Order: sequence, then structure tokens, then C-alpha cells
Amino acid sequence: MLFNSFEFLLFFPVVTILYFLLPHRFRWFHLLAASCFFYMFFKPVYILILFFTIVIDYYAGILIENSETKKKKKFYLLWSLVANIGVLAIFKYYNFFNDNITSLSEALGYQNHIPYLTILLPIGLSFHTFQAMSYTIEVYRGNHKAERHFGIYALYVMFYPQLVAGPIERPQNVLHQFHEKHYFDYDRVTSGLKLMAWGLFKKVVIADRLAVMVNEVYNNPTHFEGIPLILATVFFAIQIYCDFSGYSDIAIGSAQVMGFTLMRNFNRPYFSKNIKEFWGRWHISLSTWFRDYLYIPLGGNRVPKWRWYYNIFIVFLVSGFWHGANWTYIIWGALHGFYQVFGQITGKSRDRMVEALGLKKLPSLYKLIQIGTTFVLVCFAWVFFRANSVSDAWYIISHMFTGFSESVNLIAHNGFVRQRYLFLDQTKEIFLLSFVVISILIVIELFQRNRSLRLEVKKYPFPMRLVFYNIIILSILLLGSFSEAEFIYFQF
Amino acid sequence: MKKLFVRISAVLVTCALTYFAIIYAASLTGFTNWLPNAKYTTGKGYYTLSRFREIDKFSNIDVLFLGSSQVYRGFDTRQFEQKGLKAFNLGTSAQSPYNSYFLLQEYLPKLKPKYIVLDLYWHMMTKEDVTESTVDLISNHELTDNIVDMALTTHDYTIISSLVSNYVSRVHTPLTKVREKKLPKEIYIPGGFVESTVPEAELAMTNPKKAYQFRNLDSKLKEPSEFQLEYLEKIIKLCKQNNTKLVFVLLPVTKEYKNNLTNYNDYINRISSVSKKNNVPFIDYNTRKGLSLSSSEDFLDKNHLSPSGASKLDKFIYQDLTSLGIKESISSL
Repeated sequence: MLFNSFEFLLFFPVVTILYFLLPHRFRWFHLLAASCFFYMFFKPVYILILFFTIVIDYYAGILIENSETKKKKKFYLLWSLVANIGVLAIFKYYNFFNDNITSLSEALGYQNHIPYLTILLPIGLSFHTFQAMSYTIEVYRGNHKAERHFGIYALYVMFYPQLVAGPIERPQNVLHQFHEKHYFDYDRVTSGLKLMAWGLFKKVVIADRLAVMVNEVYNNPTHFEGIPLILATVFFAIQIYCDFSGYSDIAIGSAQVMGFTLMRNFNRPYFSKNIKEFWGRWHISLSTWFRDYLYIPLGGNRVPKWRWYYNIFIVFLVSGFWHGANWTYIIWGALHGFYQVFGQITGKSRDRMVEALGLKKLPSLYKLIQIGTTFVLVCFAWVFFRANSVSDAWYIISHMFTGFSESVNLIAHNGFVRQRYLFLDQTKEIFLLSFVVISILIVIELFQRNRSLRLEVKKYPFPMRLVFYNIIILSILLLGSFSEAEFIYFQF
Repeated sequence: MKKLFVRISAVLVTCALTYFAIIYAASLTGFTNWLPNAKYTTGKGYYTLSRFREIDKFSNIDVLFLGSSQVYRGFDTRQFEQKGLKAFNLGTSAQSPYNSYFLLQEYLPKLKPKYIVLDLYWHMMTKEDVTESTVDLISNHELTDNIVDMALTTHDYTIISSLVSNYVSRVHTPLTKVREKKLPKEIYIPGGFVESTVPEAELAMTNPKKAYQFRNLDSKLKEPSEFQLEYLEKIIKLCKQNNTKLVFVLLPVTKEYKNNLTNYNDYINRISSVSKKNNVPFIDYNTRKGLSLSSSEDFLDKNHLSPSGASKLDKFIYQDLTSLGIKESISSL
């Protein structure tokens, strides 16, 4: 079920009202049943995969805790990791490897007889698999006790707000909350609802409106040159942010309504001054997952320099692969790894250059340059993330700064081409509207630097707040796009 | 919890009132272009309004042409009139089988056509999104049960919201009072045909207006959508129930465009299988023997015929309808 669907509009209030009406001892069951229903709305049979990993990890947790020797603990942890990564390997990566084996075999004059699997990727597989793995790893490390209540453990993996696209939670943060009794609290509920409304606004009014234009260009890149390619790339950067952070806001908000606190997943990432900072603000739950369970076990920065750079690069390469079984994602991850390593290597010389240019004396300008540069680098990497193939990505990059005079000629001569080239196949009004909503986003993001918009709104009397709520809801109804309904991160 | 319900109710009531107020004000001031979910394109289509205004004067016709813009640029009903066939061209912008089905529900009982010629251009057969065509129809047609049904069956919020917008706009401007926007270099010919008056010199493929299109031709066609195929089957059933003969056609595109399509035959085979299964004739005018069209003179662009192209095509359509027995079915009455 999608958060931006009519079904969810019915599902959410029914589940929430029942949740508060039910006695505490039945609530876990109610939430688990609701989460199953939510998940089965996509493709019912895939719930079996979820149950498979839930059963494995539930018992693995208990066995790890009960084992007396480190060796045995490790064995059960491996058991759990193999099961989780195995599911990922079959459903997400099998065909990718098979395709590459086929290409390689053909290049060498052989034929690949390994069968191709015609299976759909279970929705949000990478998210709940990582959340499940964090549980067994934390039990193994002794940071968390094994959960003995099977239903509660299943709910930890399946809790519907964050089941299909995160935030990827840790047992320390969430598991205990399922045991606690949550009371109806007007302020908390309305605060959660406001966050949900803002998330929905970001998704349907900004992300999905931009998606129509981005798709037009990225699905037919060779039809364009110059400005449209740049514009579509910038629009995609904003689209993916609003799509994913919008999802996270709805997830966090809906959990908050019922009394649960989920971790923050985004913190105004496009205001980052460098790529390292960007990753501290973008998809925080995944970045910290990789930090805790891959980067640090590899040795982190407590190793020789070359090894540290290697660790950074590997983490980003894996992160790219986590996003999708495609070379475009791998290149995207590698690019971010390269940015980070390059940033570390050139840190001192860049500082000297900034000093020499006197930029330190102009802190605002320096900050603006840093933010701008980071945004350009991130956008460049997004080309690979969004392009349908590596060759498409290459076309886009190599034609971004060419064909300007021809573009102008085309735009001047033909109304059809003008609409396609200048307004990315939208009407002038819709195109300009996109800039208006992007401006609203920037203003609100700037406003929220040290404050919370929700808390500020709360200070006003109800009639004033009513106007604010009307603006948000009517913007969604009148300006939102409902044709690109699915969230980008569902595919991961 | 009571306080929450009271406040949510207040929000919902004020939102509903404001929603209607905004839509009303926007339609009154022509501000609807800024509201993508309250589309109101009355009088702004490719003469859809003229077509619907005229169609009520017709009844018991011989041929009804249905499909997208290729149809209203491809079938000049005057040519058929000259040969004694009473014809109407109900082609509308981006009309797909989904829309055609509801239009037939509306007009089959009134027009009682003996033959229906339905164009199955691939872009209409492969698309799932029918927003553009549906909004064009609901904006320019009286809101009858069939038209409202067409909007509601999409389950598409934008279309349903646009339907509301159209209802609201008719409060202050009934459809009969709307003046249709005249398009430059495009003339509406009674009977539904749209005649382009673009000079021949401007049609040259080397002209910057066309060069872009010829440089960016599709190379691979998508599979026909199951959704559109489902409505194609419904059209077949409806025609059978009304004893109307149905003919599938594929109107010509330029040679360059057709030759660029690597899986053209796959598309043809898919349509042929539907046609054979249901015993409906299917004529592909891209491969029709004897029909020779010049890309530079007979086309306005890669896929729309110019008046000279339409004139050439219509002779062949007439021949084919004759060989399918249209004359006999008229004289037998």
C-alpha cells in the first residue's frame, strides 16, 4: 500500500483509532496484522519471504544469546547473515550476476546456460533485510537482549510505517517501544499528522510534479541536448530528496501518531558544505548502518591511510550496490567513494588555496561556494543513479554542455519543440509552478535550520493554523501529481 | 480524542468549501492552467467542441471514424460524401480505445453507423495514462452518464478532480455559450476533419520545425497495454451487439519513422492476433499496396498526414471499405 494512495487514507485512521481503543496487550497483534495487510497489498506471496527471515533471525537471536562460546555465537550470527544476504542475493542480485556472466561468456565465445529467474523484486527487501541484520548483529555484540516474544520481534521487522522504505531502525531504539504502553496525546498526535501532511506535500506536489519532467528527459535522453539535460538533472536531485524524505516524514509522522519514535532520516542534505557532511544528512539510517556494520568492522580510520581510503571506497561501493543491481548504481556509489577519498587527500591543499584566495575572510561567500560545489558533485552522481543505463548516463553527461545554439534555434522555431525543450513537455504554467514549489521548499528548509516549523505553527491560534492546514491540503489536492505514485526507494 | 475529531472536521469542512471556491474562481477567471488537478480545456482542443456540437445533427451514418489526431487529420469526410457515403470523423486528441469505448456507448445508438473504422496507432495502444484525452472529452462534451462514467472509471484523481472542475465551470458558463478557440493554419471541416493550411514549403524535412522530429524517432515500440486491449475487446463486443461492422486500421507514418522501428512487426502481429480472434478486418496502411506517400509533402510531421496525404489515403480507404462490402450493406437497407 502506498502512503499517497486512497487506500492508505482509509487504512491509517482505522488502524490508529483501533490501536488506541484496544487494550495494551492486544496492540502488538493489531499492529502486526495491520502491517501484514499493508505489505500484502503489494504482492501477498512475498510475505512468506519476510516470515522466512523473521523466523530465522528470531531463533538466531535467542541461540546467539544462549550460546556460551564466542565460536557458537559467531556460527549463529553467520547463519542469520547467510539467510538474509541469501534472500537478497537470489531476489535482487541473481539476474544481475547472471546477465554479466552471459555478457562475459559471449565475449569469450562461450554460452551461459544458467537459467534466468523471472521473479519480481519483493518491495523494500533491502530495507527490512538490513533492519533484521542489525538485530542479530546487536545481539551478537551484546548491545541488545534477544527478543523472546515472537510477535514483537516480527513487528520490529514489519512495523508498517517503516517496513518498505525505512528509516532502517536499530533494536535499541525501537524494540522496547513495542512493549511500552502509548497513551493518546493530543499534541503528539497532531504533531505527527502535521509531519505526515508535509511529507505528502513534498511527495505529490514537488517530487511527483518534477518526476513527470525528469522522466520525459531521462527516458528519451537522446532527444535532448544542453539546457533540458541540466534542468532535468537538477530537478531529479530535488525529486529524489522530496520523494524519499517525504516518505520518511510520513513514516516518522504516522509512527509518532501512535506514540513511536523513529530515527531522523534526513537533515537538509543539500545545505551540506562537503560530501562527507552530505552523507551525515542524507539517508542517515543507511549511512549509520554502513558505518556501524561495515566501515568500523573494516577498521574505520584506525588503520594505515591507504587502508582507510580503501575502507571508505568499499563502503560507498557496497552502498551503491545496495541501491540496485545495476552498473549505474555501482558507478554512483563509486563516485561518492571517490569524492570522499579525493576530499581527504586534497583537504590540506584545498585549505591553503582557500586561504590564498582570501575566502576565509568572506565566510558567507565561502559557505555558498562550498554548498554549490557539493550540490554540483551530488547532481553529477545522480545522473548515474537516475539514468536507465550507463550509456544513457554517458550521453547525458557528454551532451549537457553542448548544442546550446541549436536548442535556442529549435525553441525559437517550433511551438511543439519549445514546449518539449524549454518546459520539458509540460505547459508553461506547470513548469513555472514547479519553480514556485521548489522555492517554497527552500524557504521552509532555511526556516528549519534552527527551528521546527511544526512548533512555530503551534504557537498561532487555531483559526490561523486552519489557514495553514488548508493551504497544505489544498495544494496537495489541486497541485499534486498522482500519476507517478510509487516512491523511488520502494524498488530497493 | 474528541478535540482532535472536532478540529479535523473543521479542517475538512473548510478545505471542501475553499476547494470549490478556488475551482469556481479559477474557471471564472481562466486561471485553471495553474491548477493541474482542475483541468478545464473547454474550447481549447483540436476542435473537439465543434465535433460534439455537430455530431447531434447526424444519424444513421455509413462510416464513423474513431481514434486520435491521426484520424481527424487523415479522414476527410467530404471525400466519402462525394462517393455517396455518409461519414463522421470523431477523432479527438490522443483518443485511445478506452475513450473510444465510452464515445461509442454514447453515440452508437444515435448514429447507428454501419461501419466503424478504428485507428490503432501504437502510442494510443500502449499508453496507460489517459488523462489528456479524457480531460479533452469531459471538457468539451455535455456531462452525460457515459462521459462521467469514462472519467470515474479511470480512478485517476486528476481526471476526477477535473470532472468536478468542469461541473463547477458550467455553473457560470454553459457549454453552449463557449466560443471555440480558432487554431492558426488549421480549419475545421464540417464532418470532423481538420485541414491544415501550412504551406507545402514549410513541410520540408529539412525545415527546422521538422528536423527535430526526424532526428529523434522512436526505435522500439512498447507492448500494447493490457488495459487498452481490454477496452478493444469491449469495443468489439459492443459493435457486435449493435450489429455494426468494425474495421481496425493503422494509419500511415513516414517511411523514416516506420523503418526506424525495430519491432514494428511484433506490434502488427499482436494487433493481427486480436483481429483474427474476433474476425475483425485489420488494414495496415503503412504496408498497403499501391499507397505511396511522400514524407516531405504528404505529412505534417512524422505521423500526421497533410491534406494531400489524407486525400491519397482516403481513396484507398474507400476502396477497402467497398471491398469489405459497405456498398452492399447500404443498398440492402
